[in-house]
Amino acid sequence: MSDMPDYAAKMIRDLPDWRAVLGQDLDEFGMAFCAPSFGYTLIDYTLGVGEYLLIYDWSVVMADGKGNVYGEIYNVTRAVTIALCGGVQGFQGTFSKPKVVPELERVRVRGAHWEAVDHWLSAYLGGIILSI
Amino acid sequence: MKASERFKNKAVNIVNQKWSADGVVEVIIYKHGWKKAYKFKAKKLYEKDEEILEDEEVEADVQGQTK
Repeated sequence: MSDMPDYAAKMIRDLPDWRAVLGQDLDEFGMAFCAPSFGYTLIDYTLGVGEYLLIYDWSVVMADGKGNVYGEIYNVTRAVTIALCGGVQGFQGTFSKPKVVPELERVRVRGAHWEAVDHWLSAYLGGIILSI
Repeated sequence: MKASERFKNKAVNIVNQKWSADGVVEVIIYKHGWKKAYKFKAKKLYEKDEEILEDEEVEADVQGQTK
């Protein structure tokens, strides 16, 4: 499995633009009522056989208050964080190069806050699924 | 095909997830061209002891698409 990221990235790089256009749009939204100081899963997704997820943008927001919010995109299969960000009431991030999640791997968006009371956190993950 | 099966085996365009503190998640899936979205509810999603609590039947798929 250790050589998969380079292999996957090479496959993606070698694709012409029209191949990405033919990819399947994926827009994911997730929400959870979150106690302070804990990381909560907001989105959880596992790729199928031959599917590669190219993540282009994401966001995490506090839906019912104004406080500091932390979020990360976490590859569960590899146990690595592939992006993180934070902001007041939320944030939105766009990648100048897409984050690639290879086939059969599981990705999560997790969020946390540090307010005194529980709050709803919502997340968005946008990308394209390429079937190779 | 059940919504949970459709979600795991074929790509969809829109996924909504609502997580509860007890580990239950409501998942709504939608694919461009469908007349409606479909919902299933699962506990411990993707885990070995996953439990499907509710599962709608996906009545129609987009014709001419294999994914």
